[in-house]
Amino acid sequence: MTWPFALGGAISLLLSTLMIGAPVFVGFLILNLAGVMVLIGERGFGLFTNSLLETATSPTLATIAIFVLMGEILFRSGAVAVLFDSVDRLVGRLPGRLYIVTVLLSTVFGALSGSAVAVAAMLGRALMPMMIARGYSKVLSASTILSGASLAPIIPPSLFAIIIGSLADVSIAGLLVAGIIPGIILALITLMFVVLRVFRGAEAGNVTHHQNNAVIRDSSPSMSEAHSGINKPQSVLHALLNMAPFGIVVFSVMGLILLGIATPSESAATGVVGACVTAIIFRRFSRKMIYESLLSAAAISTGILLIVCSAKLFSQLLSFTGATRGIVETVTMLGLGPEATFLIMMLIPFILCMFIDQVAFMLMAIPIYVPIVAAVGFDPIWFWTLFLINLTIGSLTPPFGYTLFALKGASPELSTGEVFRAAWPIVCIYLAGIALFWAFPGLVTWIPSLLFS
Amino acid sequence: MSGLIRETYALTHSFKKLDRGLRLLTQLSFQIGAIALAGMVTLYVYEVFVRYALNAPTTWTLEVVGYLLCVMIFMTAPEVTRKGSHIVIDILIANLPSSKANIVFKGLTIVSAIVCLFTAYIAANETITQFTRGVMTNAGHPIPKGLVSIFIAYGVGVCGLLFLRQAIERTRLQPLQGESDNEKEGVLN
Repeated sequence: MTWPFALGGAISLLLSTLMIGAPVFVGFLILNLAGVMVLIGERGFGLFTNSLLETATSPTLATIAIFVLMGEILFRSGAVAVLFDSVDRLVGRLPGRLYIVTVLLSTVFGALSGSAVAVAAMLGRALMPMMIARGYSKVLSASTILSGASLAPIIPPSLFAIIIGSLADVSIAGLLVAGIIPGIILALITLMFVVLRVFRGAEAGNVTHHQNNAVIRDSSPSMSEAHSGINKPQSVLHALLNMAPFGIVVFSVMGLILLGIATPSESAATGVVGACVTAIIFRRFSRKMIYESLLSAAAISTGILLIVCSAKLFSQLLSFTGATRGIVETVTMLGLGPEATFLIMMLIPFILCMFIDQVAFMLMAIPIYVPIVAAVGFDPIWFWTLFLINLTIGSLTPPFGYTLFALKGASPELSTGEVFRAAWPIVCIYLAGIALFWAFPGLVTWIPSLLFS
Repeated sequence: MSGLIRETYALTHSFKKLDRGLRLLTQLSFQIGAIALAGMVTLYVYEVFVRYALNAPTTWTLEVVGYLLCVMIFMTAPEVTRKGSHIVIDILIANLPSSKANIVFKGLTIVSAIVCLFTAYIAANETITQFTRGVMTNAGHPIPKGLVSIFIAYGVGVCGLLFLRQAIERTRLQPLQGESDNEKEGVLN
């Protein structure tokens, strides 16, 4: 079977099953079972089971479940409610201020986790209910979470940067620091987008402080209890004191990574301990709260991880048909100029990463891309940083994308249509970012050049 | 005629007993899934502690975390199926009239049941092969691979039964007692 036929057939089958409304993991199971039967036959069933097993036993994926648990504990302990309220007081009555807080929090957690899926799931659980309870637009709130979460693979520490660096034989330290300025610029563009939307008046979400409290009291008794404790004095100092316990969570995740005490995966678990300490400070810690958080986190993360497990074999099957290699080779044989080559080399991961796992794509495509990058004469740090950003966009682009599924899974209050509507502006922002970094390569290469000089 | 009624009653009674058993199994599995998640957190924190406080890193925690992740996913999957909280792209269904949407739902649950049961069958066969051939995990501290992959067969198999149950349920006039509101309304997600 030729690869264009196999690729076309696979995408058509997947699109049709998922668009009808089949559970996403079932759609991928159907695709992979059909693929195995057509391409390998019954002998391939062992490969199919092993693919499920290998993915399900990958400790890196445990980070997703553990970050979701951290979000659950923060949500149930009222820490997020307290944080939002404190920022409310610090910022004043600026319309749409909590969107800005969401972008900042998403960026911080994105930076410290390294996994867009984990952050989207965690913030979808911890922040989204608060935003909705306070009358903020669901779609714009989801956009801010998606944007911040997608910075996770770009801002160091980034697992993807390490994989790219080792596969492409490029300085890993250079690639890591190269993500700093693009990450900050993308966060700033998102902030500008939010401010513009808010000042146009469509998404103000500027409910008054009293209305906020009423909404929260109505929506969740646990949140209102945590909330009531900080409603008395209205000083800036009090707001700062209320925010202080949240610093424990940030330290137990980011601080321990920076101090070299915990790996990014382990830091998710120490973050859970930090969240428990925060719950104790807010007097919301109980066996019941932890038990409920565990049940909820297990259910939410299973919804996401089942998809990841079911989808994994698709990448291998694509490779088996020669589709991935065929696409890349076709592009190289066209003999285009640097600009057109760059455009096509970015278009391939953009499209393929909507359907397949980024790590799998990297493993297949980077060895083929490396000689092209050298032949065309692209700066390797610059090119691979843009490639990394592009991979992230693939995971963010409807209708398929792990980050989207993670946010949807963690936020039942969001419909799929709302998640998709939330994703498009962020996809555009990230594409605009790539165009900017293409036009001004110094934005990417400046910090690495300092490092090497 | 009375024989037919008795047979129908007996079938309904058996169905309810099976249904109760399935629900009990799902709830028990869910608890085990949550315990596995707690285990992963505990092991990671333990590893950080022994490595930095006692300078005695372990060589087995990552492997066990991986096994526990597999346990968590496939022991919790039945509960996710029972609650109908799998992630779906519902744009098309949300815009269909409820009668047509129900028909599509029923078709989807039947297809999902077949796919899950077939996957479970494949995984069970592979697990048996792994046990009989003595296949071990590719790890520093190998254990029989079948001990891990059995959870896949179990989890996906129970999901298949639950999808089947939902499909049967949609053909009945009255929902079974004790169902969640979502299921009563025939809502998948």
